[in-house]
Amino acid sequence: MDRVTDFLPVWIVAFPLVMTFVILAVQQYSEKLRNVLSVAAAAVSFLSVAALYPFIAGGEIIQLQLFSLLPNLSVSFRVDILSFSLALLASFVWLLVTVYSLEYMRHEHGCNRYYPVLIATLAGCIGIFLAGDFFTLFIFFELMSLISYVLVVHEETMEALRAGYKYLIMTIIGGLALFFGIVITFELGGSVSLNGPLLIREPSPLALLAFIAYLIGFGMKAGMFPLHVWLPDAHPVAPSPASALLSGVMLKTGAYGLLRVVFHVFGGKMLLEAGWTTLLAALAIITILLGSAVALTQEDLKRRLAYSSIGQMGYILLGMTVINEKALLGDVFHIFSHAFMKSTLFLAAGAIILKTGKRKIKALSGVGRQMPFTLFAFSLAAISMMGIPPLSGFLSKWALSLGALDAGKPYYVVVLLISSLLNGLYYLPIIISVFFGRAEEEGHGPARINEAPPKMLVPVALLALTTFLFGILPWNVPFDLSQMTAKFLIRGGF
Amino acid sequence: MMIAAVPEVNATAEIITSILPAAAVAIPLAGSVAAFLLGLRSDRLRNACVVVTTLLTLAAVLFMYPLVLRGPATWEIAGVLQFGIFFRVDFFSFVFAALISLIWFLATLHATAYMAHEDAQTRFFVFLLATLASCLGVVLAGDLFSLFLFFELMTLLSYVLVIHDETKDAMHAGAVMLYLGVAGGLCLLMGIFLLYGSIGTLEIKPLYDLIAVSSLNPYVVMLLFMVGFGVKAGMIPLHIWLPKAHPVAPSPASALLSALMINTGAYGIFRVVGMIFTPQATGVDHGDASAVHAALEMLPSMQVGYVIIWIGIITMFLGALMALLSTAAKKILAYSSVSQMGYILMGIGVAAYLGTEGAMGFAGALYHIINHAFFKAGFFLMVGTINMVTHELDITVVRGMLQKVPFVAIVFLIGFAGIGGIPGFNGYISKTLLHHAIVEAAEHSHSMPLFFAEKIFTVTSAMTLCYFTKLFRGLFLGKVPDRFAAKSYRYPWPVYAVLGAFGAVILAIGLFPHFLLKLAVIPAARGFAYNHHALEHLQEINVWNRHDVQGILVVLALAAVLYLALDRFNFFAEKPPRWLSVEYLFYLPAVRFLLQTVCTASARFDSFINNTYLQSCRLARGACRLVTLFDASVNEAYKRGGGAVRTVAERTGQFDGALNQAYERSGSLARRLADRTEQLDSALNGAYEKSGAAAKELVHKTADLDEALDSAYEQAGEPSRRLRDRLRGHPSDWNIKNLNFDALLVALMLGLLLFIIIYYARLQ
Repeated sequence: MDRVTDFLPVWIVAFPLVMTFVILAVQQYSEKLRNVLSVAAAAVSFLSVAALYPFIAGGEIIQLQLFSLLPNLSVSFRVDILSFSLALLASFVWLLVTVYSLEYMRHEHGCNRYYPVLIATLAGCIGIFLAGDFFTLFIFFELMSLISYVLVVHEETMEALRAGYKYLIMTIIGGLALFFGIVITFELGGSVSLNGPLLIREPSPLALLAFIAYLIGFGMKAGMFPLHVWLPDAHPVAPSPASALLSGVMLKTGAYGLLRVVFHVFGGKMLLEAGWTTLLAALAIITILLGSAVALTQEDLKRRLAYSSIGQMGYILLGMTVINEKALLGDVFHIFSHAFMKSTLFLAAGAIILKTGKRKIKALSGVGRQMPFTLFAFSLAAISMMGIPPLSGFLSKWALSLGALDAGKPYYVVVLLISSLLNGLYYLPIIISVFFGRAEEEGHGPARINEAPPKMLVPVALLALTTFLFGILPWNVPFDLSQMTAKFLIRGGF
Repeated sequence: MMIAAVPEVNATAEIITSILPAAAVAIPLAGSVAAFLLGLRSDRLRNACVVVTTLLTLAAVLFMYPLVLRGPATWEIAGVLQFGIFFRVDFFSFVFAALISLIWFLATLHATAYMAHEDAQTRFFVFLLATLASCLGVVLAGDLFSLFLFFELMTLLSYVLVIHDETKDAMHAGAVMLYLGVAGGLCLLMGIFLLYGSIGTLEIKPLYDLIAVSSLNPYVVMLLFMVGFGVKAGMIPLHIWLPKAHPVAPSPASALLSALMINTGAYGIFRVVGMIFTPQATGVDHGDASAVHAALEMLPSMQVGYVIIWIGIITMFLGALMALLSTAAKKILAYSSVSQMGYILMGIGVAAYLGTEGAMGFAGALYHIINHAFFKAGFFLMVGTINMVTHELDITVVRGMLQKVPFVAIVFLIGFAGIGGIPGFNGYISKTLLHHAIVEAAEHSHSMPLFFAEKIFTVTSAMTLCYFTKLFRGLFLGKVPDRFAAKSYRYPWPVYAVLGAFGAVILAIGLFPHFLLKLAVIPAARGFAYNHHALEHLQEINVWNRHDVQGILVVLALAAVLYLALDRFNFFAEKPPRWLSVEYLFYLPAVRFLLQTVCTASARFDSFINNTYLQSCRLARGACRLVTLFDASVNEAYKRGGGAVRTVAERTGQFDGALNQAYERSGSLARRLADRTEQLDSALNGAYEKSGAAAKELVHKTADLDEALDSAYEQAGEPSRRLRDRLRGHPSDWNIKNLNFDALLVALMLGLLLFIIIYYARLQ
């Protein structure tokens, strides 16, 4: 309680929240200052999270109880390796996306609304990861969900409003289910803290109800079948940087919540013995196959990416039902790699849309000659998505599959490979047509290079580079973090 | 450069640590980056860089020779991809690597001339070098993980070479190749997962001892590997991409695809079926060879070997048949590759089927891989050379090239003799070895079908001669069409040098077949678990005997008869019906099934779920509207009820006021009366004081009067007092003032509610 680091989590969460209001105040006077402050807020968040690394890597768990509402019910923070990994990931992607936004949003209306909301959502998102109990988590979960609504409907078109409405309704349903689960947990376990031992140890009808409530609550956010319906509507209509965050980072809060539920509320052993993981596994398999197959039929680039997200989230959900270290390693690493890949894809798609105004995949023919770097980044991420070595998507698939085999579930591997094939079927034609297809308006001579401006290109390139480097490099921070996380969770989360 | 680095030799007995394998992969990769950068500046510099890179790569590979003679050379790049990339080069790998890097060098040299007038040269050369790196990676890899990594890279990188022209045909061929390649890669990956999951190692060495005690089903795993590698090897029925993709690529790329890259598939099958799924060599004492033999009888790899023999036979026959029916020169060559891969597969099959006795099949297959690489690369470069001028290669259109390019025609004839297996040319020895192998297999198993297979082998050899005769006759003989006659057929020196080199190699191998057998093939076989007898037999073999030459004469006679017969019946002009192709019969329906059923069904299902949500939303909204209506009517009722209550209250209030007034009025009346009485009393008192007795009487009277008045007063006060009592008696019963306030509050709240409802109703 007396160390500075103990209060660092509060700072990490509170800082962007405060900055939101600062930005709100400042933007009346200067747009430039607003932009600078937004990037600074994201950067400081990233650095503050990174500053926790020495403590976390040393196996420490930082806990802080802020104040208590009821006995056993308080607002508290807790940073373990899983929280840290995800917070680091979120703030890193957020930083790049904020930089990207500077250029992308220059051509958009309503920036005075966009930036404060962007930073406030960051606060909510990191708050979820750093929350020390389910009650605090719930507060931030609702905060993030509701605020991000503004990002979804930013364009204010009819389509966006409708998608946003759907998103809002689903969020509320999810939030209520989550609250229900938390209440049952509190009733059964007497506490909702992540700090203590397992909250529910005995399978009972009420406990099953709680499990299902959690599944609905977090599964809704994670895009799990059959609660995914909001996702393919909401992600494509948002501005591309927001799509990148929605798909790349915010979906992971659902996965994070479910990881906590599996390893802190029920415990893997109990879930396996009671056979409840089967429920999640079945839903995950449907999610994977459905998402991948439907993506194949989509004509709109961002919509295809959104369906692809559903499929990929299925990997993560499937991975956590195989309760062993290898699969968890793949699971957490896939959270990382999917975040990198999908943000790359959405940001690259945004650059394409901004430069060419083309959203339909058919119209993208030959764009690669015009924007070689952007499309190269896109291709790298897409190939990684298919799980082709030496990119990071392969590593997660590799670990997930070996974990599934260890658990005696080879058909999981078959599902993963079929999904990989489908990924290939819907990503490869894009890559082929952008680089080797003929553009509609065939000009004479080599196509003019009309690349995205550097402020957009640098984040895209960096993210694509992470996809590559965190695949091939022996020195692989996300992989090490995933490994530590997997060990930590299997050990019981202490 | 990196070659100069002295290989760091670990002095331990067998395993040698050397960076050379990694260098052989790294050099072309680095070269490809350099070529990209130089390509931005100058074409000449880039071409020089590319050729030098392939030369350096060749040198790096050849420097491994002294190492692999002593034992396998290994190098590990730990941590890359977390699993680590592991190179392990035994002699078998070395033969492949040397073959690949040598022919790559020659083809690249040719390509600098061939590509000179093409678009996007830099892209071509960059990917050419990168593909070389991945190709070498496949054969130098020491475990299946690294092999898979390079294999996938090769699939993706070679795609760019195939679609180089970006025509519609090329794009289609490329797509088929890419998707089949990816699907094959996934089968491979599944096999690798299963293998690794159950035995925990992926090293390429005999592992059957481990597999046998694990729960692994060897047939499933071998099938997966066969499919994965078979796609690359052009194994029927997975070959459909090959006759599409090889012809559309630029000729140097076709040469590399057809001569080398399909060999990586054969290499993989060799390694998996012939090595990984074989038991560790235990230096068997030959005394109990029969016992060992009995124990080995049931090995899964042998049974799979039998299957591979037949796949090989079918592949060679159908490939040759399709080649007979094609007219585009490069298509004939591509089908010829399928057919020749059939020979190689058959050899691999025999090697696996006979287990430790299979050295003959091994030698035949490996030797044929080498020979095929030389003559097929040569053929593609030759027709490419013609194509440089004509831009057309259909043998019904391009004719009479003998007059125009006699040099090419001569080399072509040499290659022709090579692939036809004429003694004195390179194909003779490998085909003879393969023939020995299939005969051995048939005799060993006493199986009738395999004797039959041997006949198919002979017929296919004759067919090979037939379609090459057709190709030669079409391309080189006849009259030169006018549109090609006027063109200039002069080529830069690399073209002549490269073609000459191919012709020379084919002749050299053909004239001294045992040199290469002893230099490369037999040392390579020592890395496998073949017994010493078979190897010694191989060592002593002499193909220059009456029996073998007789065999080839039979083939030649058969070919002559066949050719004349086919030509007579105009069979060459036949086009095979489209519906007979395996693509039409199987792949298209399968793909259509996948796309239409699975994807469309999923999309429908998805939209069904979405609609369910929307519908339930709509239902909920309908329910809400009903509730709103109900609420509004309740509200109305309240409002009306409230109005009534208010009226009642108002009335009561008025009534109360009236009563109050009445009471007040009667009160004041009484008070006034009392006052008056008092005044009267005091007046009377005064009068009493003034008067005496009269007064007393008067007092009595007055008292009477007073009483009377009193009673009157009382009578008058009675009703109002009674009312007051009634009001005071139960004040909580109906407190009129409170009721008034409550009504106001209720009305206010109802109003608010109404306001909210109206507001929301409008929102909807």
